Amino acid sequence: MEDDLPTEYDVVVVGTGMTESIVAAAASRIGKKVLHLDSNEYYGGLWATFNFDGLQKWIEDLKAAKSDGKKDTIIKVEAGENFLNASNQYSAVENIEETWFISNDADLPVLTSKDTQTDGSGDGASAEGSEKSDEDKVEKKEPVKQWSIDRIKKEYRRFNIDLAPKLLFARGELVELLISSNIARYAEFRAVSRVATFMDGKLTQVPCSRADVFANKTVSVIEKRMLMQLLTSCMEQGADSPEFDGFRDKTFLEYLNTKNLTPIVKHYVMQAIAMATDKTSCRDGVNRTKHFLNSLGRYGNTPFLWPMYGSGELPQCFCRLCAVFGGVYCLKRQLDGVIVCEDKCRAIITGKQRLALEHLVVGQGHVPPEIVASVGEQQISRGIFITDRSIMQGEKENLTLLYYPPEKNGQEPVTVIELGPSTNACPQGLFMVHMTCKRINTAKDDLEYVVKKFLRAEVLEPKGPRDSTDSHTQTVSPDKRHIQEGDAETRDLIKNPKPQVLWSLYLNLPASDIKLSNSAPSNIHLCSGPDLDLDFDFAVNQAKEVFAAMYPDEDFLPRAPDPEEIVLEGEEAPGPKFEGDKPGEGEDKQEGEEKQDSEKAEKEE
Amino acid sequence: MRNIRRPIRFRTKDNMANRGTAQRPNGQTQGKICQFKLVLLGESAVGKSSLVLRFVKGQFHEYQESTIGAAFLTQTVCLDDTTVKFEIWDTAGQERYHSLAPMYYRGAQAAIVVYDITNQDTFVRATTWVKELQRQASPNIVIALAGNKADLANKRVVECDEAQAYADENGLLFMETSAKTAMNVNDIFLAIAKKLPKNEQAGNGGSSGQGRRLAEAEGQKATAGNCCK
Repeated sequence: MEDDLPTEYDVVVVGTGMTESIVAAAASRIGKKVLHLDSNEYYGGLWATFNFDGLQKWIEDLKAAKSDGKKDTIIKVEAGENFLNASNQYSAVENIEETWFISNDADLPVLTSKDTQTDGSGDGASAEGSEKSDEDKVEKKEPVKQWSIDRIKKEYRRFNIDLAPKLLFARGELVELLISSNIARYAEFRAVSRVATFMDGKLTQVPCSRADVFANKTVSVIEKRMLMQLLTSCMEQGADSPEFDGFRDKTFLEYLNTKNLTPIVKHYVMQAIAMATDKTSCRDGVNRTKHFLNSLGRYGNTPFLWPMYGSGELPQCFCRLCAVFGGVYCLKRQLDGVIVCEDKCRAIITGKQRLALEHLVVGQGHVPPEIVASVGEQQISRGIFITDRSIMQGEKENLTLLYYPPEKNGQEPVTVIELGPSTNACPQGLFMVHMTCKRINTAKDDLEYVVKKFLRAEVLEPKGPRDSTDSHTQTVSPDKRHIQEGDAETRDLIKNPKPQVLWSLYLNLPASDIKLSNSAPSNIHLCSGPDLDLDFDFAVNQAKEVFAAMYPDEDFLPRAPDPEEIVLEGEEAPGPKFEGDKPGEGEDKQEGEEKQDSEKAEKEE
Repeated sequence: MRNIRRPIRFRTKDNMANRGTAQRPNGQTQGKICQFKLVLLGESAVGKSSLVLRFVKGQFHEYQESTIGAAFLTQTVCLDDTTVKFEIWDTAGQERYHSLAPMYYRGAQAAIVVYDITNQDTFVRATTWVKELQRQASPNIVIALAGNKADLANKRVVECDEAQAYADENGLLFMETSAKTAMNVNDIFLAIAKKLPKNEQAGNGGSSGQGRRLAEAEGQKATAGNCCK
């Protein structure tokens, strides 16, 4: 089954994550012979986007991989050479917990089934039992057909589910790179239509543009001026401005506190624009504010873009450019190990083949342990939810970014991205909610406080199995119970009920901070997996560093030609345009042949 | 298998003013311009790139390097009142080790699945590409089956009737083609152009998924959902 590959390359890239793919494209673009491998049958590694079926298979495969230990390959090497086995130990996904909140058949009582894998959190009791249907909900949903497990599985193609959802700043590194390299034409994007924040017990849209600020009814004229003034000083002067001199070792919050801002303005700046916690340094806060403002006004209402069909499309775009310039692609092909001689990596072993190389670019999931100096402690907690409505109902479909700061110590700020059907993340009538934060405990524990706040996930109900007689009241009780208290949050809930979670998945991913040891061969270049940042800048910058280390004097991804600019060898001008005329007139054919003949003549000269 | 390959060189045209607009040499304006993404599929060496080069450039080379440097090529076809602009994507060799990326099919409104009439395996493989498209691509995609290398009729192993029957069963357009002699090359693209829906929504500015494309020139606000190529 194994296809034989050509055996000599300038660059072998292992893993099709974001950084690896950018490096592969950059090397191929300047004419280097590139081989790009991935042991998976899909592109992207931990950056991948799956349809529903693909995601299920990915989960299955992780289970299978855990049970059968990888066998080390034994390879004959020449004198002076050393063989190091590749390892997948740095790409371990943990605490996968998948839950359905709907039944197989919409007419049957709602069943909560649970598919806990690996070291699950073990809170089976609340969810194991069967739960009766939410008749109340059925009525409310009017003529809309109920979503069932079967229906979601049947429409698996309409889902695009991201392992590492990320946004692009409209003037961030990736957007600039996509445009300057002309790779942008492979992808399509949607602008994030609103940045939301949680204030006074409810979600509100943050005014981003000047027009938004002035149209906003929740801030007074004085506050508007205050906000514009503050933003202008961040924007125009940056963190090195004397304005911030006194705050070099202080936090951004401390700086804001000196500005006599009203609570609303302070909230907008801290939580929506700078996405800062009370520990964020003044410098970081100013820089983030600047980054945000810089990207405004280029595309849409907010500074952010989302790739259609998911973040996993972007590595594939770079891979395509690599292939277009001659890069060889082979999925389902594993790196068995590397052959090292003195301080150089000479070749890799893959599927019984020995492939010689000048440079090896390797994703962190494949690095031989012998050359790793330290493994970072940071990990990512992820939650993915399919819901029945938006967290913040609007007149039109929205693409929403929400930054939710910790409520108390021991929690991490959570980034929430809500995608609607127009991004191709899910079918009409559904929403896809992604939550991401730094890992403290398990993904489920870490995200629980945010899930509780914004979503209605049955698992969080304190009661176990319910019978049909009280299901009606129970269903609405979480909302009604607090009416008397009359706080804004509760009132809002009655008007806009929380989205019902139909399906959820929690997982922990490794974050990227592996360091290679000093003794590692100098021509092995490490690429990290997804990081905790909102955008792709880390990957782009890392790819630039790797490329500069390999080819210090070469251009990084110069602009690729447009189709109209491609001129064939021996062709003086682009060929005659086929103008279609009427079929059957046949003139174009003849014209083509004449052209061919004239070219032959040219060549013979 | 092809072992001698001629590289395609590219150069940048000085005048870029005409980019992105379909033009007729006589300057006549057309009523409607529709842009479609068309993808080519099929086994290595069946002549995918040759078909495109014949169609787009009117050229044929016996030993053709696939498509170095060509992300996709464009060509326009004029129907009665409509100009159809094809954005033609080649596999760039990613099919060789069965590693074609799903982004390749994204938003494609048309596909040509190519096989070599002198090679039975390539026909079998073509049927699996058709299945793959039916599974992965958008449900309304127009698929054409092309039995290429029709000039090599003396080495034929795939019968025309067999392929026609398969195409009929699966609702595909079908033609035997020859990139070498140009037989049916323009015709198959024309047949696809005719079959594509040419309403306002389809092919509106080439933004197939109705998302936004990023471009250099764009600096100011634009309405979401517009293509700004």
